[in-house]
Amino acid sequence: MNRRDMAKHLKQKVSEVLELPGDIVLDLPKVTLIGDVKAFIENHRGILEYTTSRVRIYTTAGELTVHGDKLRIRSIVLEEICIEGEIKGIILNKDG
Amino acid sequence: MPVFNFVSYLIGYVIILVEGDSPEKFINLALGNGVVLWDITSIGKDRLLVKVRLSAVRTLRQVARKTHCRFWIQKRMGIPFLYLRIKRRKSMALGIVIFVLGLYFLSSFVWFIEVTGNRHYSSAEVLGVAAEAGLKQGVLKKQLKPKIIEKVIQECLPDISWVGVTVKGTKVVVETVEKTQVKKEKNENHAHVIAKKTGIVKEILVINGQAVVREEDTVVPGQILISGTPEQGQSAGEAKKPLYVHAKGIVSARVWYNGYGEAYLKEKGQRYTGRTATRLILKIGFKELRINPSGIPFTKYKKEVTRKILPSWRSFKPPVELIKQKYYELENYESVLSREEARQKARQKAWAKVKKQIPEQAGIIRQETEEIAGKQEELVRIRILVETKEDIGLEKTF
Repeated sequence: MNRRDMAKHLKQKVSEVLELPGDIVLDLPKVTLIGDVKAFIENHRGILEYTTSRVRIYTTAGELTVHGDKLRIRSIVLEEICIEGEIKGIILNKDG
Repeated sequence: MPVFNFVSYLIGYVIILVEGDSPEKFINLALGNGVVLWDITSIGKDRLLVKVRLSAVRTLRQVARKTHCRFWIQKRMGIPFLYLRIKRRKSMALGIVIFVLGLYFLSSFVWFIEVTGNRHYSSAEVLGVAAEAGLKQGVLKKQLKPKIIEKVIQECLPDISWVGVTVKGTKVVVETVEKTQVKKEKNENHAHVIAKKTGIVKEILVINGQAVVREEDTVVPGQILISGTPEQGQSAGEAKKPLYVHAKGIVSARVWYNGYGEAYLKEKGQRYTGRTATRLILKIGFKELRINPSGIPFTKYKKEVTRKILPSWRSFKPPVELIKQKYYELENYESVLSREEARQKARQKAWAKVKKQIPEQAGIIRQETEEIAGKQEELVRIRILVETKEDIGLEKTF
């Protein structure tokens, strides 16, 4: 176990003990899906690809892909992306 | 988001078309530079439509250079551009200003005057007086002094007892209330004095006419007491032409009144506890929205519902309605009265009934209370008999 893993482990423990939400302490993405019309991705690290049928977003937990039709980015700021359209699936790819 | 959009509209924003090998990089770098982008839509391969605030366009030029993208402004939106457009069309802007000013200017005059409530006076008469007081068509609303106009109208038209002058937009409504003319007594007509009640005559005081009944006579309602056609027999020798007069006089008589009341020894019923609860409901269309979401805290209650509806316009009814439900708590009660208490209660009821029938000026001579024996032991019945002395005469023309 190297130092980085140790730090991560410690952070995880702290978040569990103090009952703090993981997305804040561990800097993990938080995805909120509203039906099939809207998706909010908080804590992102930038867009990798954007077309009307697919949006790939880089996050600390890996690559997040939103599949769908007529997708558009309703708003984008440093902390949050809001995607609108006919969402069909969201996949988290750890290797990405 | 609505606030953000509104501010963007105020300070102006543009829709830009971004083209390049990787517009995603453009977006990421723009974000890194603190530029807020919204409504990003892809139109074909590597072409994006992006909305961005006007103030950020300069930053985006650097971003585009670094990411090897190009962008063109497609559409300009918001107040700054609107202002530019208006500046180019000066005559139209002037037209708008003139229109608004004209509307304001014209609405500061009185254009219509309405007179309501007048029957005796014609509207023209009232308007004529109002014109003298300074209320006529085309007068400035500011110069109008409703109080003074009201006063002048009331002074000039004496049959008007109240005037209200109210300004409603460009219309002035003159509300009038006229005095109701008191009908003159038909003094010159011929009249009898007749009885209005059954009773025994005690005293007759004839002012005019001839007494037909005597003291201690029993009379029934409608019977003539003092005749308006005195017999001519007394003044002998004169022609037998009947003489018609307006009979007048006071006929005092003894009149009896009855009152009955009863009371149960055991009473059961419901009464208010004094506690109330209100519930407000906002009805929009068919949906009912409860404003203060509390249940009815009472088991027994009386409900009172009041509805507030917005005024309807022509056949259009506003779909919004405020319903106020007020609940009054009720409780059961059972009271047991002693015989004496029940008697008193029954007496009170009976007395209340008697009192209603007796006119105010009647003098009470005698009063009797009797208890009626009934089969039901738990019921007390009381009858009150009241004897009064009062004027039973009523003038009636013929």
